[in-house]
Amino acid sequence: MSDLITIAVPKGYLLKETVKSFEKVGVHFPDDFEQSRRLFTYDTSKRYKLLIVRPWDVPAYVEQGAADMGVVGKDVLEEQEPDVFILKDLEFGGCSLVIAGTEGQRIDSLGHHCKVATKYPNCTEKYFRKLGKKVKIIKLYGAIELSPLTGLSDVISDLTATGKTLKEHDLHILDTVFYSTAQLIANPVSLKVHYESITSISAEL
Amino acid sequence: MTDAASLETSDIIPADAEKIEKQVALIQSVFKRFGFQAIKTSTIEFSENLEHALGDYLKQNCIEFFDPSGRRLMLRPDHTTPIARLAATRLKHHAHPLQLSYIDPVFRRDSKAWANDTELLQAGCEIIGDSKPEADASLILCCIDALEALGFSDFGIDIGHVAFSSGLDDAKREALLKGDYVSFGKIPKRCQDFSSAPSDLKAVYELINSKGQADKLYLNEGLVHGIYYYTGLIFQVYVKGCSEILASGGRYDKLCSSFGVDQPAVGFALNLNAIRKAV
Repeated sequence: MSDLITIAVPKGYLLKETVKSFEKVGVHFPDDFEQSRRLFTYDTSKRYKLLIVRPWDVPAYVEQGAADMGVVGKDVLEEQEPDVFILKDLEFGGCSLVIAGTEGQRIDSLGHHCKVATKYPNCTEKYFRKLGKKVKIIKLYGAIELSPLTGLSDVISDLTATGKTLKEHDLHILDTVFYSTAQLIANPVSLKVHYESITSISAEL
Repeated sequence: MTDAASLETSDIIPADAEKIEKQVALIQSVFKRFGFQAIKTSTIEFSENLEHALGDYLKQNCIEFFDPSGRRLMLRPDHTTPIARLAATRLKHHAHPLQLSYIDPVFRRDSKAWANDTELLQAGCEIIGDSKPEADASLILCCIDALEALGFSDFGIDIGHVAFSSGLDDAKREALLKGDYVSFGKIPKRCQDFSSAPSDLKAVYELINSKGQADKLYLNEGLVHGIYYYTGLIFQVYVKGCSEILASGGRYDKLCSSFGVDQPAVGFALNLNAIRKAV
């Protein structure tokens, strides 16, 4: 099984951890790679090709088959619900999607049609629908914590690892929507074509 | 001025039309050689005639509209259901098994933005009134011959079974159907050794093996879904480098009974839109 396997990985922390995991099972990627501006690289055995992409773009690469496998946060999978197979919980990159608001706010006391700012409209809408609440979702692309302070929204639904940024903006966690870690995913056709290679690296990692 | 390309149109210019015509002729000759008779079902159906037999996916994604009197109409969202309707009505007293083939489009508005082939050309075969593994094997062999006639050689056929998901609790079954193998607990087994397969799959494997084509077959315990009306064997054909399934099929022994006649049946369809992109 010497077929080349292409893996889409998001730049940053998940890339570092992925390279480390591969290192542990004897797959070496060039050391200077993370500092360089190149967007892809091969391991020394040329069996694996890493594509460096934006976190939100990993499912697109894998779903379309441009990458055979991908490493992606569960948060992105929950939000996009792509047609991919989830092979393994890699257990790094832990964080939570939380509903956060100012002191004194409670989930139960949030009114109908309250405004929620988030990068995760799909998950957030689903969460509130389960509670039987109709909320107005305001889709933002970043600096979500600013939203309740400026009156743009009543609460936010945002990803947090340590809670530090929330605290700095006097925001409190009202509830956790889900816990997220990095997941190893595969394209459904790739898992058939490269079944042995993909299942064995998935078992080793 | 209208934005002429605003819909997911399927206009076909002469160069492509010529290619499709050639593909259709190749497929037709294979279908004929296997003893299938061409059938054409109505493009437009009364919704009430089909919808009770359609699964959620097709019901949600079919294209519906009204006739002048207000009755609901739909564009044919799949071939098997209208063919089952015909088998249970006008073809009820014809000699069985019926061996029918079609090359016509189905119409779906798939919610996946990248799979937006609203008009999807399918070429397929159905054997109605035969529950024996010989019927399943002959369909798979016909599918292999059609793909080889189209110029494919390095394709694989994964064979699954609806029984692979029976006996699972709801959460496990849902995880398996979704392809969430973390929640399912393992990556489903896939191998070329059919000795552990259910007896109906084993029989089909042996029949295909006797024709020297077993090297293409993989037993896939993760292949449990497809169209909701499948009741036994399921298969999917794929080729390296193409992320869409080229052909798929399966046994549907209960579909005809939803039109009032109990007949076992098995069928498959080639996805000619995917095939056009893959060749």
